[in-house]
Amino acid sequence: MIYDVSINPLPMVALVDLKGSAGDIAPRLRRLGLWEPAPGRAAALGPIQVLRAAREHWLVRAPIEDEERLLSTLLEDAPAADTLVVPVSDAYAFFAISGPHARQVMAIASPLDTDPVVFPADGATFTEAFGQKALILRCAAGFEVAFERSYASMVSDYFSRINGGP
Amino acid sequence: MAAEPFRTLNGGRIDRTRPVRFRFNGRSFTGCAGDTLASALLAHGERLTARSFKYHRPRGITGAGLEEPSSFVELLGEQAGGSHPITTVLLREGLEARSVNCWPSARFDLLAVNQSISRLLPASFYYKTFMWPNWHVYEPLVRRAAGLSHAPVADHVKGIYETRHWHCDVLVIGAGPAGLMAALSAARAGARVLLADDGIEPGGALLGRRARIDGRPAMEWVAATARALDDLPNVTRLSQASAWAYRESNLVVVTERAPSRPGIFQRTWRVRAGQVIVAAGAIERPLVFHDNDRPGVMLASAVQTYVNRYAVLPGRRAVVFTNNSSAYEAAADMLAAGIAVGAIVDTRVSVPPEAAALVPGVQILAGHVVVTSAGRRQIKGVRIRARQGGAERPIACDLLAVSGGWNPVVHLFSQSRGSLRYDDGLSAFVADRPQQAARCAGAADGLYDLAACLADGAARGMQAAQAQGFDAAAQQALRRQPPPLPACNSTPAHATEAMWHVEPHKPSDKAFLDLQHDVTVADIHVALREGYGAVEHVKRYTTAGMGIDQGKTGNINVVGAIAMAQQTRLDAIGTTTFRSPFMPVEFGALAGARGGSVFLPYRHTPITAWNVANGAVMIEAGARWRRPGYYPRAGEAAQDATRRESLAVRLNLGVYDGSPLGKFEIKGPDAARLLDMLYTNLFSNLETGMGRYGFMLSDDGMILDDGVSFKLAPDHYLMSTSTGNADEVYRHMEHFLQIERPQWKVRITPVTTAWANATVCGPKARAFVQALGTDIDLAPAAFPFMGLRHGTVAGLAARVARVSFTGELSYEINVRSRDAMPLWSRIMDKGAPLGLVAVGSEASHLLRVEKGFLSLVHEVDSTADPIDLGMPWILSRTKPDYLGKRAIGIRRSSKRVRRELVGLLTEDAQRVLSDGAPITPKGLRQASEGFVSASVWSVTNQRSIALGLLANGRQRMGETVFIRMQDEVVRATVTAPCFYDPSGEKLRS
Repeated sequence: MIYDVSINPLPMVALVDLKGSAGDIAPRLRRLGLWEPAPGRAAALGPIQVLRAAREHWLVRAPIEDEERLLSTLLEDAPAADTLVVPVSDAYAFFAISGPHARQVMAIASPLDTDPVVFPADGATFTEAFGQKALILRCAAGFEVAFERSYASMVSDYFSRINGGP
Repeated sequence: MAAEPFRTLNGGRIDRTRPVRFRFNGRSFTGCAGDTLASALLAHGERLTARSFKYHRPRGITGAGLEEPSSFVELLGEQAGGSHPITTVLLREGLEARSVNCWPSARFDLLAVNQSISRLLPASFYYKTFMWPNWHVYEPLVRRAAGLSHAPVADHVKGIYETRHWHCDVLVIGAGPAGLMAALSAARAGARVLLADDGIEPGGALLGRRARIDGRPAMEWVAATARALDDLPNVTRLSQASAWAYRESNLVVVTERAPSRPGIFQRTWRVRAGQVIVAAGAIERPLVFHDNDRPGVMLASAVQTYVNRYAVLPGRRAVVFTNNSSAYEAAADMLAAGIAVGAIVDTRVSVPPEAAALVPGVQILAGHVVVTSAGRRQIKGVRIRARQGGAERPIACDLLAVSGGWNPVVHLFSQSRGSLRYDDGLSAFVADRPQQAARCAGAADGLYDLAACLADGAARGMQAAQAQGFDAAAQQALRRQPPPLPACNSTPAHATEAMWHVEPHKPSDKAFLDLQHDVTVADIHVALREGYGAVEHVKRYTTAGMGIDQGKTGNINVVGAIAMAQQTRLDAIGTTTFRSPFMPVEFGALAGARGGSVFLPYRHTPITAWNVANGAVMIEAGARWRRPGYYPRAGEAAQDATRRESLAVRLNLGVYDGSPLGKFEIKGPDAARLLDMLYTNLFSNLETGMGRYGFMLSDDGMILDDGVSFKLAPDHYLMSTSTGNADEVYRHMEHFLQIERPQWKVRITPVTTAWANATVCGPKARAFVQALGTDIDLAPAAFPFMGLRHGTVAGLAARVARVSFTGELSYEINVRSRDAMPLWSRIMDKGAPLGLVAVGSEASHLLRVEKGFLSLVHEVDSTADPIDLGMPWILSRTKPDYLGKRAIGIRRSSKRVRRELVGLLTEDAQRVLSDGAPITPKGLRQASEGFVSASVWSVTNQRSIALGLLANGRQRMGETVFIRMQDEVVRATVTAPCFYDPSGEKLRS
């Protein structure tokens, strides 16, 4: 072990990708008790979290057992014609990186500036890690990073190598 | 501890209480902690440390830092690697190194024979020799002779390489006086600062001098300033960290050679900085005269460093040869250390009195030059004369300290695309106009006076911080004050007089401009005579300034030699391009963790583990997906497995994992318009629940991708793309929407990995899917070819599509990725008794070639358009426009001969062709008229079949063509490009 860090794959979460105008999306978030964070930021109410990846792009995350309820709440009213709501729980694999050296490990994985001044406690953004598209969130213990699930094995491999593994 | 005859009893920044044992060229030595390999060898009186690159002349240590042009070593053992400048290798217990460019040893080098045949080896001799019978006869020998060190064969046992990213407001390169002041100023202003310094401890040039700051030894100020920086939370300070590349967007690459964290061997920082301050100092340049390369000819500043920093005497009796005043301070330090200075040979007629005052009692020969040196493996003396000519006379010495002036280290500034200008006063190129947020400071900015360096560093640091938005108000908020400017005595002005080379007695005299590449003044003249007048051409012709050196010591002397020969000014010549890396970097330090198992990215489907467990041979299948190529049974060859799997699909049942196909949900009032614009055919008239095959073209009318898009609901589509192009298609769509049609209301979400699919194919597919259990009506009328239905299959929620890549009846069963393995297991459990087999991508390929279906990178190779592929019907005549339409129209209007898709049947039915084999007129070695795009042994036709692209192919049906294989020319008949079910009856069944 080179770094004092804990890197763990997280169990599947319910994840819904929402693209559309804020006018159509915000009421759906409010039904979950959530509000609109600024782009690049996240907001949470209990176990439900919304991440605003871009001006008109959100991701809502919840425990997997709440997947159906989450989706049905978000789709309670018919979405606007240009609103796209897609369940993507299966599309992403999440990893938790925590511990005193979490930021150092993130610096190896991703070019994202994780200085708390730039990427604060509610930071959430799509960026690049290990050369692939990745979603990075700051959390209390460190960071959570999501990759397309097909890369999960490779990402585990990378994290292991960073910490002196084979 | 073994005797170190050239080590002084006191002084230096070495630890005499910590002896360090090491081996050099097979011999054992002992040095001190804090030594470099160079200083430790000099302490033992070792002068011959290397051989030169081309002539294998004896070489010694010339410099004291990364400027070293003469002595390179290969490290052995646990830190194996090379070629390292000997002056940058820190001594450590057990270090083992050997000289490069010599065999069997530096003392006795067989290739020293090159010296006696040097007349046959002028600049660029290799462009004119080794022509007969051909170059390859000589290549192995020349490569061995020219090679430096060997690549290590094993991983480093000391740890791993790491690359990391870093961001800061201000990056300061160099922790000399200017760099330290710059870092402190910027940090006190509140900026995030990264200070990267190449040395083992900060101080830069001060480490080798006896300067004083604030009335105390300068190194005390250095230590205090470093502590002050370390106390600031917004400062990261790196030592033994060399900045070696300056890229666009202020990205600077720094490699840390000895990170403090255990387990890390080397660490590379990719630093994205708001502002960059290059405070990398200046490099002293050699003086050029006949035999100026003997061991014992050293830079004056290097001698000063060895004396002051390492407590080593590089010689006992020295001569100093200079054209500026800085060497006088070096001479003074040599005298103080006990080296006798026989004379200072100064090219200047008038020596500034403040310089002369530094060396009372030393003979100063103003207006003189060193003409040549004597000795073989070590300098024994020099011959001098008045500069304007006259009698020569010898002076005995075992050390010649030379100073040809100083070059500000502008390499990184130049890499940032900042321009340089020639400064007559300094006789050097200095930074001029930056192209990025970069500035030089201190000696790198052409300021050689210590007080000026300190002031310049402070000012540059503050400027950089202010440029990042940190101003006086920010400092006040942080309750910090800018650092006070320390006081120090000014050093004598350098007062450099340009001196590019001393004219040799005769043309064959070797006066080296570039010591690393053995480039002489005569070589430059040869290049100029041959018409290579531009400095970049001279560089290429002679190799001057190439390789590790990158112009650190030799560049300006080369430019000066050209200017002298052409009788012009140096600014009219310019410099060559300074390239990265500025100093040698190991490949591992570039790669970091990206090696071994992750050397190439890889992707898995949810079925990968099952595939591997069931013996599949996994292969890369586009977009980094690892897919099963085939599933060999015990004793079965690849070809046999592929044929068995293919036959199962043709006659019975097969299933393959089609998960990697790209998938996108597209929705919005303009979704149909988008598809109509992207595809060549019409999609807006699709019925809900139906799909259509289409071609997507790039702007040049060539095929970007093919795939099937389905209509899920009004204004809502599911697009399927090829595996390899999924990411490119996504970029293409987003680019079009964001740049070309930002007003269109369309949303796209990639769902490639959200869904997995198992594709059941074969004549019994319908019955089998029914047997799996489904609530979808599979009757052909209810679920026709190209239909998409939602329902359940095997108890799992599924989207089922009737598409086919094999030419057989197929059901593509899409489920959530988490359900993929349960679905696959149920298919295998239910199918195994029925003879269902898992099918790899090799069988899929065989089957699609039989059917004549297209494959990206085979038939669709960025040169073919839909008409070439026999599909003019796919180009809509009713749509007003689609991407690529105009380009196709223009291309077709030229009436040029096009290569068209055809089938090929070899005369020898058993002869399978090679993919990519050229088709040439009569099989002659002439320009090809086409090529084989794919060839397989057809399980249906029991013979070899192939697809190819052939000039005017459709008009040549029945014609015999000739395919050039590696070992023979094969004859084949041109046929239609379909060998199975041409009417499509089976796949539509």
